[in-house]
Amino acid sequence: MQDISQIILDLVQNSIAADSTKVQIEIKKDILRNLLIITINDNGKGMSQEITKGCTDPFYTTRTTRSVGLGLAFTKMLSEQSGGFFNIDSQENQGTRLNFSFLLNHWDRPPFGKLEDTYISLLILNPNVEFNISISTDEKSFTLKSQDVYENIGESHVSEAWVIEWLREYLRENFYHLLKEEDKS
Amino acid sequence: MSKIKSLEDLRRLRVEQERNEITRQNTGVQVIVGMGTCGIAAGARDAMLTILEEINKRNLKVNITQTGCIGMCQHEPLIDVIIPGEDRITYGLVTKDIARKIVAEHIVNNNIVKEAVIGRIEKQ
Ligand code: FES
Repeated sequence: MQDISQIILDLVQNSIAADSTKVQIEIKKDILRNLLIITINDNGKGMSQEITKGCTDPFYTTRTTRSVGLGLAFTKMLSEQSGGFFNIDSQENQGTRLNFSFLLNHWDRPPFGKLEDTYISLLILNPNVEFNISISTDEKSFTLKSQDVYENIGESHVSEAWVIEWLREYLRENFYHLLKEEDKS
Repeated sequence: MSKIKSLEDLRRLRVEQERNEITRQNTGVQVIVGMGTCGIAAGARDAMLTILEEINKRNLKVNITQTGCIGMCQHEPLIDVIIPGEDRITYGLVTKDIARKIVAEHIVNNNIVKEAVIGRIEKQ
């Protein structure tokens, strides 16, 4: 997992595997505290306390098949290595909330990567899930709800070239305008 | 300076698109992308978007879906192609180049991209 866009894609896959119908992704650039804070909230089936405790341990072994990806353990390790925190909060039948951060200017803080492609992939592959993403800084913010996209194009068009192209540009403009980074590429 | 787009532009674009709508050929083909942790880490997202791009270029319609971990980390990204009436083919280590080949050769011309095949399930 080289960048934040792939970490988010992977973590949201857990939400989808947990039957979520609504996933909220928030990226907050808190310049004053030098933190990049990411929150992923879903309304999926959640996890028991025991699993919630174990799921960030890469050697947690009570599971026979890996229903929760290695991504959680990895993200926890990475955020802590980058001077950030990692919290997971899950209620059975209610949903799961992940909240983690990186020091904004830490060496090990991964680059953003193609957040626009992550969002587009999620829309295309999961037409029945609502994805809302918001990016904010201390002063400004940008939000996109999948509902708003569908209202403007009609659900059946989402995987067509003109939509993908348009969304990609729209998201790039808005994301990187706020995140302002080297990885605009 | 570029003007920031708004969602209304998308609606306008849709109207335009509908005016010169080309009928997309429905192939009945199904493409399944492995989107488990290691699939994503290995580039499944890019493989999927490349396949879609190639399909759109040719005005084809395929059904793209995802599956989670299937326990073959070392071969990720994994892509399955199911053409009605043919064997189900699993491709491994799907780079963007191979993704393009899968569309051009397998989906369009029905020639399996042999060098990238890692599994084959006979048609039922
Ligand atoms: S986690 Fe590697 S194949 Fe599933």
